[in-house]
Amino acid sequence: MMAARFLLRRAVPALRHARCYADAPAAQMSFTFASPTQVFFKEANVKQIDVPTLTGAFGILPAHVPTLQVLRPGVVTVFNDDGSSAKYFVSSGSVTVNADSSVQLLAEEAVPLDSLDLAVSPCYAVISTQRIIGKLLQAWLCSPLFTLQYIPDFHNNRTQDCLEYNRGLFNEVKSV
Amino acid sequence: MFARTSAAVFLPQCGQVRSMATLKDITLRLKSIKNIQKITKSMKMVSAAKYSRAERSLKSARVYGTSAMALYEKAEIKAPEDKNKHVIIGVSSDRGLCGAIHSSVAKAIKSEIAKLSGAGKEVMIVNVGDKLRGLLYRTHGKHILINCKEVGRKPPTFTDASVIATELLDSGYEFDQGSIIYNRFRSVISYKTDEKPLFSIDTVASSENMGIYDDIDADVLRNYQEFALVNIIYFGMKESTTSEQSARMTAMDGASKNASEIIEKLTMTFNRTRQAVITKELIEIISGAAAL
Repeated sequence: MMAARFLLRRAVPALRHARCYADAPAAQMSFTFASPTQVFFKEANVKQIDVPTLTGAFGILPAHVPTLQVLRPGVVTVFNDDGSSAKYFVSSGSVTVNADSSVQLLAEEAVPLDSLDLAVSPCYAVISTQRIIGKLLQAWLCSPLFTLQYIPDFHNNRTQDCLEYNRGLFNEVKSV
Repeated sequence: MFARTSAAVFLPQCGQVRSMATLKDITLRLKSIKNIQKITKSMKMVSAAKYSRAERSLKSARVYGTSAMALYEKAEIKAPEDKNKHVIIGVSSDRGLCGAIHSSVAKAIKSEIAKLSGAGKEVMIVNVGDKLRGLLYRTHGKHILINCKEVGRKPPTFTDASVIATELLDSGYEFDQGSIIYNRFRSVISYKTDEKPLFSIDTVASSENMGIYDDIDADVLRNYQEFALVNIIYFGMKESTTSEQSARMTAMDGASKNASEIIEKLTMTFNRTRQAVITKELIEIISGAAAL
């Protein structure tokens, strides 16, 4: 199954580490969440993390299968061990889940949702209901506190196109 | 400049020159060295302020940078030996008066180039900082790929690092692997020139341990790699500026101390000369009076 999903050219598909009951999932996940200017979590133990990636949103629990993903603009939700959750809006970045259950979430810009001012951004209520990304962009675009010049599309390096794409999304969502 | 002040008072043999000229000499020199000391002291203050700011932001940048490289360490990605194209990113800055910061990076780059060229590989350099360009262009000018200026005036941001990474990726030089050479900050008085590896997309893709990472598109991997490149450059730049500011602080501190030593010596010489002049005049007066 893994060989089929693997789109890279490889001579020999690697064997996935076979799991048995003796290898109970480690309840420990070493979670590091940082932006270039701020560290939110450093090797913390959390229960679950929901991340929005280019290929879709998914949740990461301890002993998640190792993977590399690239983030898209959206909300990252971190569920602590005590059940509380913290939400952050991220612009872009990458997430790495290693074999030893350590997760590195590197965001280019990340803002705790609480710090988006309700008075200034009337669409805040929309964010808290976790609607689709377009709505978030709407809120984000109308919040002067949080100005993001571009969403870097590293693959194509065409930031203007990205902006067009995002504005298109915004318009499409506005009409919904 | 500081070596020239041997402080020996020189009386020319042609005799009629009054010692007043020498006194004026010493006064001028004393004044100029006092000015220099003021300048170096203020440069030290400025560097100290910049250093404390840089060190504070280095704390989070370090977490960020080490996490960015975590994948390469955990998956133990190693470049195959037979790949030929290397790139070296040397991180420094535009301004001098910071001790051995620029020269240590340049030295490391030169020895890397010698080693790689000896093994028959092709190397290109990316200079972040004008000083590096000055040090390298004469002997290794044909290896230089990109030069970056206006580095070091303001604290480096993620945007700067992404500009550099974009330039490198757009330059058309398809490197297989590389390294970034920067000054890692250890403490206020010490830094060390360090080297971190860079990998190209193909190297990472074909590394054996990548198999355990599930569901990776070529697209996703490429984006991930490019982002990782920016992260590493950002990390190198942050460490580099902190080391540079601390080195400049130390250098200016040393310069101020040297200047005060010279001022002391010159003041002594000045006083002695002044007393000698007075004594000479007295003797002249007395011998003149005695002749009457």
